[in-house]
Amino acid sequence: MRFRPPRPDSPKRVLGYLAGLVLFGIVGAIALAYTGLYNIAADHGHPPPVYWFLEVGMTRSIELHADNDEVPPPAAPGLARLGAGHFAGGCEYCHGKPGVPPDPISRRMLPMPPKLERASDHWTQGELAWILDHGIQASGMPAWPSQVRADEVWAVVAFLEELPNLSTAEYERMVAGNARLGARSADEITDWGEAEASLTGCARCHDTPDAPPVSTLVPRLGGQSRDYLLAALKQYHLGDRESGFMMPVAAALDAAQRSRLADYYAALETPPHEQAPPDEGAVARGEQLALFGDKDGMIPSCRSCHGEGARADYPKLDGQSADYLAQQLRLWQDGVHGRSEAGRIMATIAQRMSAEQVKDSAAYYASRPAFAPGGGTRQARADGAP
Amino acid sequence: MKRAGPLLLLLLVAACAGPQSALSGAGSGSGRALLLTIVMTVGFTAVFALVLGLTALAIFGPQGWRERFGREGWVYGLGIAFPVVVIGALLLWGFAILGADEALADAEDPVRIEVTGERWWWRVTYLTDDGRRVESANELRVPVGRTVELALKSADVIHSFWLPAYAGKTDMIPGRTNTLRFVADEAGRVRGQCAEYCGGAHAFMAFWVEAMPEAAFEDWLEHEAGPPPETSFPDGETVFLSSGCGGCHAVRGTPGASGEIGPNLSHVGSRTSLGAGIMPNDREAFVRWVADHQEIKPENNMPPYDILNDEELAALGAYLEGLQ
Ligand code: HEC
Ligand code: HEC
Ligand code: HEC
Ligand code: HEC
Ligand SMILES: [Cu+2]
Repeated sequence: MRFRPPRPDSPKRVLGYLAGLVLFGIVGAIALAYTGLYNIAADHGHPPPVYWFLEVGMTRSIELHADNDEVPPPAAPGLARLGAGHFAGGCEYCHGKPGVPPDPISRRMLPMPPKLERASDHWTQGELAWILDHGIQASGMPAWPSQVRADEVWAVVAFLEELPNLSTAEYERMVAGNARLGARSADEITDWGEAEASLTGCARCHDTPDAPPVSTLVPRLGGQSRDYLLAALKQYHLGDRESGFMMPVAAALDAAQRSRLADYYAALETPPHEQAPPDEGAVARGEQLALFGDKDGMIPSCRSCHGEGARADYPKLDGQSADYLAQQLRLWQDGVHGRSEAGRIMATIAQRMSAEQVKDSAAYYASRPAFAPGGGTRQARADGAP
Repeated sequence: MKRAGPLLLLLLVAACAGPQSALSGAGSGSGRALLLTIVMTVGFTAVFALVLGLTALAIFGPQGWRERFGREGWVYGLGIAFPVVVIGALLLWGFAILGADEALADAEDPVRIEVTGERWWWRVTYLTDDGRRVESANELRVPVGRTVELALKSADVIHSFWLPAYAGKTDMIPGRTNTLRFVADEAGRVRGQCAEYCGGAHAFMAFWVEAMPEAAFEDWLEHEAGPPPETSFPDGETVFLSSGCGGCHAVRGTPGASGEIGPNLSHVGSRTSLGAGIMPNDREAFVRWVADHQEIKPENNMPPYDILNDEELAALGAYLEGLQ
């Protein structure tokens, strides 16, 4: 049989051209990589077509992967302030702050980390949460430090929503949290030892002698048991307890610093959380569980481990915020917490609790007079203010 | 090969001996059932041999015998009358034996004990004549010669209470109470086990029963109802209370130890075993249990206590052993 070439407009012919084109593209791309002709210098910039390609590709990818139907968790009081505290330590050196360009080193990244004042116009909340949780490949934008705490990124999303309205001074005040950087005298600043510097970092989010934690999702540390504080810092340091807020902070602390911080906070008198008065019915049910447990559910009374006379490495719960307590219990239920030795005890118990019992016991402990150094308590004022 | 047969049989029989044997017949009911089993086995083996012998004779025997077997009388005699009489008698006797246990229901003043199957241990509650409830766990003590009446319950899924030395299996069914009665004929210690798969640690759910003279039993129960002697290891007691053990375990007379989720530990040091019949009961075993129970008895419902250091474990071991 004689070979007859297909007619120029036959589908077979068109397919052949296409295949040839794809092959040419692949060979071309490999050749480009091997010859090293493309200049990848960060200061060289992308040629406009490449820039267009990367920009559109990134935007479309985020729009496709982000889940816009995901409802953010109900906003806890101070959520944006917690996000601000993290922003100052984890984002500012790349993305800069209102009125001030990013630091000269990160300005030389390619792509240059964009200013984020417009981010909340440009992206939906779901997209921002996705970017913060997953990061952006090959750009320098990192994923969230803990890959099992997608719940935490919402605090930073809340902060990005507020960022466009902030002046430089307002920004500084917000990210400093309770640290009052501006109020320090020059002498104090030059005298900073290591622990002092770390403390400044902690006060961005945690309690100080004259202020409760910036958010109800941040635990109160003042007067907490020393051994527990020390154990918690070690767990974050080793990555045995997952938190994108605390792991970066604790990674930098050595054993001596952790010990000094635990001493400092265990002895510190701080005002209780500012939180809405909890629901009376929930408090009553929670009290029942806390004092007597639930025999059928195999839940011992919380008091047997969190009451008077408990081990020093068990935490005090009295007056801690309901949002924080319930969140921690859910983390055990979901298997996120529970890798540490102490965590495995609490995980066993939390996993036996119903959603109702979590809410009720959190409400009960939140309603109690707050713990204070050495077993004392601090009574919250009736209106919830310190 | 010729000698292997009897040897094998011997091994099989040896495997049946011991504290958890259905062939020990240590109780009144199980004793009669054992007798019935033996009589049946021996009797019917003899009948079987007789039939084989007669058959052989009928086939290979001398002419005279073979003729005699040809008569119809044999069919009426050995074929009908003999089985009717023998089997009928055994049946009646069997009914009598099985019925004898029902008579226990009418016994006056039985020892009443509630046994609840929990995943994966046994809650044991003695109901005293004066109306007290004395809680213990993983071990039963019963007086010799007096009817024992067990109320069998379940706290979660179906378990089966099997105490072969005294009685057959009885299921423990959630929401129901099954009754099991027996009389222990002589003093001694036997073992029982859960005989219905109930999840994770089912294979590690056993218990011990000690039959003791009536007077000794009464003294023991009086002691069991009270608190343990004051501890000589206050450090161990502090570890026990501060670690939250008392939220799940009760120690009578110790404020802060009134939990009802796990076994009652008031007199745990005086029991035969730990962990529901799976470990010895001594100081070293207590330490091993607290430190490693999730490895020893995987999935059991006590939280892992890896936070305790060696010193704390030793103090706990001494304290628990002292709960006599
Ligand atoms: C190491 C530097 C670096 C750090 C730290 C960093 N980013 Fe980025 N981020 C980038 C870079 C670079 C991009 C640009 C990616 C691109 O355009 O391809 C980016 C992009 C973003 C974007 C998308 C902005 C837009 O409009 O395209 C958001 C939102 C963002 N970052 C938020 C954050 C937040 C919040 C933090 C702190 C939790 C953070 N980043 C930490 C480098 C960083
Ligand atoms: C960006 C805000 C932020 C900063 C800064 C911060 N923390 Fe935290 N901290 C948190 C949050 C949020 C949690 C709860 C995390 C979790 O879910 O485990 C936490 C938890 C803790 C806990 C555990 C408390 C408990 O009751 O379990 C300790 C201890 C702690 N932080 C100490 C510190 C110290 C010390 C510093 C300073 C060196 C510091 N934190 C800085 C936000 C912060
Ligand atoms: C058997 C002992 C035990 C019992 C009972 C117990 N807990 Fe805990 N709980 C612990 C231990 C141990 C920790 C510390 C875990 C860690 O270090 O990771 C803890 C931690 C917690 C925390 C975290 C506190 C913080 O500051 O982060 C909460 C909340 C909590 N428990 C609530 C409860 C509630 C509510 C109950 C009663 C339903 C209860 N616990 C009963 C042992 C117990
Ligand atoms: C959340 C409840 C809970 C807590 C807290 C708890 N236990 Fe247990 N414990 C159990 C359960 C349930 C069992 C039965 C396990 C099994 O055999 O399946 C048990 C069994 C035991 C036994 C064996 C008892 C027997 O009769 O064989 C000992 C001993 C014991 N626990 C000691 C302790 C000590 C010591 C602590 C504290 C360090 C402790 N337990 C804390 C629930 C608990
Ligand atoms: Cu079973």
